[in-house]
Amino acid sequence: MTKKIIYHFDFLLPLMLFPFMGISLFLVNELNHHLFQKEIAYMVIGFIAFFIAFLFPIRKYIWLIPFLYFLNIILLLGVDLFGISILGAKRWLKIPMLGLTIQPSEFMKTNMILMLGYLIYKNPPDKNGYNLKQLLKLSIYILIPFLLIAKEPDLGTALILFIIGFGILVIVGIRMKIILFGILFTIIFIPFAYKFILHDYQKQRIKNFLGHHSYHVEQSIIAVGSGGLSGVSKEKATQAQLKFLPVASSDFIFAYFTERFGLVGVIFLCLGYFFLVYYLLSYTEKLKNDYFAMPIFAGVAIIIFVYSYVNMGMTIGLAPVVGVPLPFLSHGGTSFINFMIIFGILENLLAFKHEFIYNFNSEM
Amino acid sequence: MRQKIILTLIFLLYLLIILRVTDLSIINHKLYTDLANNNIHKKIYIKPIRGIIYDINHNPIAYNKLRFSLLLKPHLKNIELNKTINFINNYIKIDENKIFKNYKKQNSWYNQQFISIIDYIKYKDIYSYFPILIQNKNIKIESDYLRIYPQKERLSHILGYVGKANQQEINKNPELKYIKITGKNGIEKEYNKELTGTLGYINVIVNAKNKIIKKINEVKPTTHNLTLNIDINLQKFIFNLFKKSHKKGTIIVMDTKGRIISMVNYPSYDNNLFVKGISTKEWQKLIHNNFKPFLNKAIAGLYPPGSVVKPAIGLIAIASGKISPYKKLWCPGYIKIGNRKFRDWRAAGHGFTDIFKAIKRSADTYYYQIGLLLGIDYISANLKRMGFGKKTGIDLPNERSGIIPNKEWKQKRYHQSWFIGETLNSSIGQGYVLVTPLQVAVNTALIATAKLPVPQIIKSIDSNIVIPTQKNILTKKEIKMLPLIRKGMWEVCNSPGGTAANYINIPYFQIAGKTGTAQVHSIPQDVKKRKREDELAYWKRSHAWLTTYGPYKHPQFIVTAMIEHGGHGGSAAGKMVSKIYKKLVELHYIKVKGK
Repeated sequence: MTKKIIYHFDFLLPLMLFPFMGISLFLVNELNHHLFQKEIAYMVIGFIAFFIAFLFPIRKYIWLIPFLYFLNIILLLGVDLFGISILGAKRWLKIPMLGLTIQPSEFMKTNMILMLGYLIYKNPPDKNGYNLKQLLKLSIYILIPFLLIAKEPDLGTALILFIIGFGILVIVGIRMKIILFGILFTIIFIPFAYKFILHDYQKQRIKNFLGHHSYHVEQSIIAVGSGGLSGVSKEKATQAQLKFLPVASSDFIFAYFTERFGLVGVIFLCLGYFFLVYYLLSYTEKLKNDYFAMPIFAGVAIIIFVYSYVNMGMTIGLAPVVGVPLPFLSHGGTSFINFMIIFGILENLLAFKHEFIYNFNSEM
Repeated sequence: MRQKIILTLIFLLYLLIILRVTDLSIINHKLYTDLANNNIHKKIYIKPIRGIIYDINHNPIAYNKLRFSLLLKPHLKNIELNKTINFINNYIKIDENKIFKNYKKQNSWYNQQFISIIDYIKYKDIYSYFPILIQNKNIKIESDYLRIYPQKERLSHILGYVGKANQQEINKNPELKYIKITGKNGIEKEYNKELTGTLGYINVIVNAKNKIIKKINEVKPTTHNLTLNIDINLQKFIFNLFKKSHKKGTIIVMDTKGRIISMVNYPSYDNNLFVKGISTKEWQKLIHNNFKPFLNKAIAGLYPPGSVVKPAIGLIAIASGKISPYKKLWCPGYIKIGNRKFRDWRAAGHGFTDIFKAIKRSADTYYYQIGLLLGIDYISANLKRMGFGKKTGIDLPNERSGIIPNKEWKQKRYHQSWFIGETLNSSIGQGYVLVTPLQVAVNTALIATAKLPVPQIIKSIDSNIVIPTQKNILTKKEIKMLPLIRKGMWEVCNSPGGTAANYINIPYFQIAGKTGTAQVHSIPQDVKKRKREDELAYWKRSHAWLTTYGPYKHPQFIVTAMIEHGGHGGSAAGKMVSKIYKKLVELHYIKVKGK
């Protein structure tokens, strides 16, 4: 039994994360030793979370998924009604008695991926993919949180959610005609949305992105540009070391990475992320018939790609500034622990697959 | 199939990141490295402290006192500005309205520097409030230096003054943007470059919060102290002579090499007024004063020289070959040209007169005849060579050249041809002729030494002595004839009948000189109107000149006095000049046996 679990446990998956975490610890330690200690602590917590998630029999308690999803929707509604706004955006919810502030939109990404897994598992597509009616039904579960978060307003998070949701559906399978129509529709819709839907500050942000960079991005581009082919020493990496580079250890860690390791480092980093995404996506082929696990793997692959791409892109002026971390590299406990939980779930889906199928079958 | 398309798309997007990084860190690497370096390298400027000026005995005559200025942050909104000004007023008494206007005037959008609103606050007025005031983030207090001229009006024409640099001056020397103060007049202006010095700076590495992380190198500010040839003891002494006698005018004491030991103009003004910015009222008072206290009469006052040009014209004549020094001309009470009589100052005339007697007695009719003999163009060209009618080159700004007329000059100026009568007037230093007292002093030095000095106030810059220059401008023949002119000038001061002989009284040695009584032919219209009738007599009186050198045998010093509306040169200035020579002995400038 245990042998079987160990046999199906994918050791490569957590192993692939170690280089990222190693680099993260190295860079954060150079920037701030105090943060380094903190990072060690949350990495330990992250691995504990990983094992808890791994051991949690999710397939058995599959009903928990819609429960969590709707709880999250209620929290988002709560933000709309009782939320506190900071700098004009209503994104936070204050929990009475505890004095905690939480950001429900942060949990939505994981919950939505799981929810889509649940829905697809309950209602798998035929061999040509989903038809329009099925697609519209599934879309509701993506569009409700999308609209709620977009209204906050937090268009960046909402769009990422949108991309993850529909990305999963595309990978799982939609009729080709619908995909082509969707692409066409998006192309037509973008200018319309810009004109009538976006707030002025959002338009300004896009204009800033297309034209003049903000001070933060300017400094980050300077850091990247001064890295050269193979980077400069810690002492010469003045952009980050002398604090010209804002939030160098979290959102802009890619700029410091490039300042230290140059173009060569970036090539390796991009290859690393590509390989991770490739590896996760390859499971969607292997798990072709497991309609619960397959969309979740697809979702995690997309989230890692989108996060890493948007984060690196904003650092070098290729994407607007959206507060997303560089997966496994940015300093930040919440995001790291979140990813470890997701990876724990992935391992669980792999390792307990046969036991579950076996049990599942026997129960039938 | 679908997987492959998605993976290819993802791959291409990562490739785009790599391409963009290549563009930034390889193709534009130098640009961004420079920008990164720009971020961290800052220059911190250190203001030089303006050089001190000393007199010849190392007494400081211009120095700096520590003061404080209060500055406000730029671009303050009206409400906040008023609040801040009000806050300051609790501790330092100020005119709130005036400060408000002053701030508004300086507060342009292009200005990023703090705006100075109160200057030169004394330490005792600020030290107890300093900790409170600097708590306010809109307020900055900086140390500053106030230029002090302890001798006030006694040296103001020589020292000049400093003031706030204006935009034009800043454009010329961008460092003034930081130094702020520049020389506006006198020595302060002439040697502004040395006194101002150059900014020092520290190259530092700063972090994003502008905090200094590391010092790379430091260049100290430079500045130079000046020592002048001026002796304030003598300057004070002469100033007091004027003050006690109520005379107005100028006295120059210069050594034969051109070093100015003293140069007093009376009346004068307090140059300290200008340092903080003179008020309009005081400025009006100064420039509308009929005695012109603001004018440096010695170098910029233009006066007819009268008879003090006679030694020079005499030298020109006897060196011209057209008249022997020993030739006696008949000098009656007047000479008639056409219908016009040209009078001698002595109605009886001087009888037969040679050059010695002509100088001694200042015989006008002798010089009329010389003028007719030589012609105006000849006299004019040679007078100019001997230092008249052109700038002496003294190291002070705003020197004027005066006028030595000739035919061409008159044509240009008045579009008229020259009249022969004007040659006669010019030959006795009247008519169109206008000179500065310093030109007379320089010319006297030429006669005493055969060399034309360039007058010089500066003695040394730091410890580097500035050597005065003298020009050899006389012909061999002129040099040969010089003793004869000197003899004539000796007689003026020493032989009975000499125009100054009765007024010179120096027990130690003899001096030589020449008096002048320059008629003021026309009084400016505005002066007449402003004066009451009983005062008019003063403005009609002639200017009195006495220019001397001494000791006669071994000339060391030139003393030239010009008393405005003083009447006769000998009587107006003789006693003063004698006292000055005695003072020169007392101060050991002239060594005398047993003294």
